[in-house]
Amino acid sequence: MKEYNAQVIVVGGGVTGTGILRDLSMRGISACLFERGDLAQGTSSRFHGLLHSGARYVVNDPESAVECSRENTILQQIAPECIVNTGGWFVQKEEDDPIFLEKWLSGCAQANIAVREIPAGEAKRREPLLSKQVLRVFEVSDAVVDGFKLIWANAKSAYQYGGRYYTYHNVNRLLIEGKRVVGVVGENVITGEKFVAHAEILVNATGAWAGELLKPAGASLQVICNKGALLAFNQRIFRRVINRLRQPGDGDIFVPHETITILGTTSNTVIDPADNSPSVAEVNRLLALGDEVVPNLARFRVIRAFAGVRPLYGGDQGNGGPEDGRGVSRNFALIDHEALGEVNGLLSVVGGKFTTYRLMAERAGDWVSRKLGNSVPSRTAIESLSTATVTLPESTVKLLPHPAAEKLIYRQGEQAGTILAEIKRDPQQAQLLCECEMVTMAEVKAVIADPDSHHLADVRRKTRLGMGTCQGAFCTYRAIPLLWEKGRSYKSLRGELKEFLDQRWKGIRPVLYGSQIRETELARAVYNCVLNLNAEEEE
Amino acid sequence: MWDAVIIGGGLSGLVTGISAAERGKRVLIITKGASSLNYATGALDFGDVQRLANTPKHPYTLLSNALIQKSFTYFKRLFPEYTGKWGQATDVLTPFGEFRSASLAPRGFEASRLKSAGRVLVIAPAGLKDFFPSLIIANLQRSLPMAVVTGLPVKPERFAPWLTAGKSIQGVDYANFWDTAMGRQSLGQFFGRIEKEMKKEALSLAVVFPSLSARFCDTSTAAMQSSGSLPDCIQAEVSFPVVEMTAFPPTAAGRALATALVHKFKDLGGELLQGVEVTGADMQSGECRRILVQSKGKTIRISARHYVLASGGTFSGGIEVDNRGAAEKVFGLPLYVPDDWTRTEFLGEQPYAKVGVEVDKNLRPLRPNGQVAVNNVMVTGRMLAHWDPWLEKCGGGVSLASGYLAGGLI
Repeated sequence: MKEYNAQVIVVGGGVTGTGILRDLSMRGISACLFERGDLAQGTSSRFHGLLHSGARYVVNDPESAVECSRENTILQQIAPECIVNTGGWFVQKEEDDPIFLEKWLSGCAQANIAVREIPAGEAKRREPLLSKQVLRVFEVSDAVVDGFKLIWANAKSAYQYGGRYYTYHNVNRLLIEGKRVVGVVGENVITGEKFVAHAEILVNATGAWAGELLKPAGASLQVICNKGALLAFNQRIFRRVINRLRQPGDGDIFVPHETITILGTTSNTVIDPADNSPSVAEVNRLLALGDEVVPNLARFRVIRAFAGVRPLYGGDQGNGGPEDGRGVSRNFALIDHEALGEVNGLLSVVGGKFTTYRLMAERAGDWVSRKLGNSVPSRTAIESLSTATVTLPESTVKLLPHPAAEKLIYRQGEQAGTILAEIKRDPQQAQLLCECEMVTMAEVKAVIADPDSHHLADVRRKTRLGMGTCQGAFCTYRAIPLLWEKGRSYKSLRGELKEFLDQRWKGIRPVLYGSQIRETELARAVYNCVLNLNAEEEE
Repeated sequence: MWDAVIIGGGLSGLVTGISAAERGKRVLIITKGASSLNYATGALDFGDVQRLANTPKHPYTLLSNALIQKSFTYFKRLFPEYTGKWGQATDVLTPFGEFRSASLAPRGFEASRLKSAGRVLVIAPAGLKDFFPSLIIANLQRSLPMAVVTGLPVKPERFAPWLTAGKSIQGVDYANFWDTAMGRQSLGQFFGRIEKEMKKEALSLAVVFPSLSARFCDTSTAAMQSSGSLPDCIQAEVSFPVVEMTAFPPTAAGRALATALVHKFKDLGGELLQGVEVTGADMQSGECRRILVQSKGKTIRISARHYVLASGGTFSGGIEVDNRGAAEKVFGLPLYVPDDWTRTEFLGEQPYAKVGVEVDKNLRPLRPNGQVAVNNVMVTGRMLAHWDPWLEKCGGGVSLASGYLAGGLI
């Protein structure tokens, strides 16, 4: 049995958990994080990727609005590599309530969120696909964030400060002595090896899964699992984030990411935090609502639908407020189970938004510091998350077509230099393994060599392999031999390939029309017939 | 007036055209783009004919076993370069070097020839895209425990600039090259060297070669007729079996079959209109009077005694699906659209795959009430309802048999 010792254990490798790991490590507190899958596998990678300006919340949730606004500024300073400063517009249509506009403008003023009106004519020129029925347009400082990158940047920065993270380490239960938490026991799901970890404090950052972890330990937590479905379109419909200027609701945010656009979201309470399958009804609802902003939206190709489960904090509101969860504050909560008289040394962090993850982490760090008598203040708001900006010699970058080189540097940061050097040594390594996202053979090999990469899905999250138009039809079979060369058994890879395809399929199923159906026919032909992957079922 | 106009130049459309033209019919094939055969391996699958012929509503239930077998034999007569015995599987290699069975395959694909070899050489052409020699060698070694399996690189001068530039070399590029005079010469020399080297060994040799077949069964040119197809011509010169692997799309062997079918059709006097789209049809009292063809900005009207709808399914664009429903593009024929569209397991049963036109025993389209929708239209291939080629592995069989039947009815 493997044994770990630290002052603090963090459970959950989403943005909150990795943020806390970094905050604690920077204060000199020894901490280790356990995640049962890969980092960024849960809700943290299943959202629209909008870094809120705060403007969305000024009317209903002014406290969140102020937090978002402050955090937006901080993150743009500490993590510029993970953020694209697209700006955002709030657009008001004829049918939108004019009274809301007044409230919104005064709310923005109170929250100190800068707003600039763009003349409607100019707006239509700058965003030609925007509905012609737009009356007024206001610009705010919304931005776009790469969740995968930000989470890995937090984990790697924490590592520099001595923090440790263990992926594919499932925590089975908490170790309690008397009324105090003293550690956890769990299992490395890849090797099957059991582990035990000892610590003085445990921070539960499992998000929508928070209740599951606590129940056996006699602690309680009211988390409302709120599913939000989103659509990914095959093209960049807008240059910037577009929000509807009305009471926040479903299908009113368009977020552009590189060459795609995400439309979100819906809001439905679910029982099971793992219930992240988008439905045809949710897709149709999003298309209908999006159509009000982009006329004839259905003509654009949807490459997949996906959903995340928000961990909304029900708190003292009894059974958790309105059905759709929109009435519950998107604010975060630190639940001190010691103060509740349940378990000592145990803190749960729930609720909140991706945009405010750093603040949540700082508050959690403050709580832990007080318990441990550590007086070092948090420095996450001032110390850059990024390593030095990557500048590579022109001649090296030119080994790849310009957009491919840009994407490589964006995705891999410093490691891009090593990858380009490999391409220089063997130009054939420049071949695109994934044509949709322009991922070279050399890049995939480098990511596979990373000790944190175990599965195809891990490679996907670090390279965007399989996330483009073809949704893995071609790149997946190309990655298999590379994983095999790393020492994985062929038989297990065949099984994993099916699992990976089923995962991708989950997002294609509700949007199986138009070009996606052609793509599906081709992919099923390749894997069933050319590779004979379903041979076992035949017998 | 044409005896028949066939909409779609894929496997079923061309087989319809060839079998009708052979019987002296005047046939026109109109095709929008490249045949889906370019994406196929070139090996054809008939699936478990007995089982499928007893699966309710499957196209095989409309075609007698005798007819399905006849279409099999007919194809072999058209293309003697193909091998396969009715009711028996032919082994071919997947692109990962595993054995799988096919019903009809180019002779060069026949992988059972590896089973008696003591020594298997996997030829690894430099920079070939979608080719994974070390995995292939490992998989072959597992399937052939008695043999010694090793790799042998080949690096033709022709592709040196491609390699330096980091340009990917597709299988079709290599196949094109091997089919040139220079390619044949270097291939001859390469095999000569192997022959000489291997004479020193006591082991019986077999060679595995990816992306070799360029125009293996092109019988339209006199040159090819005299020299035979490429694998045959290699086979004639060397004493060991050369086994070509199937490949990921686009494939040289699929393209070669598509080309060979076109040549066969044209040689028999068939007319082919390429790169134009059939956009609609004039219908009158349950019959099609003419079809509308968009050609270079103007609409042409074409009439025939029979119309064959071989425009493919959702992949080729014969059926268009949007978020509200599915439609057949030319005649607006009623479609069978399953209620539950998809299931969890991607590679398992998927109802969506069965979307298509329901037909009677003469391939005439039916309305939901079972009445014939249009008298002089026949439907073939992927446009037919109630089958899933990727699960049932009968894509070649349904296309050949329905095409052969339609050709006979013209």
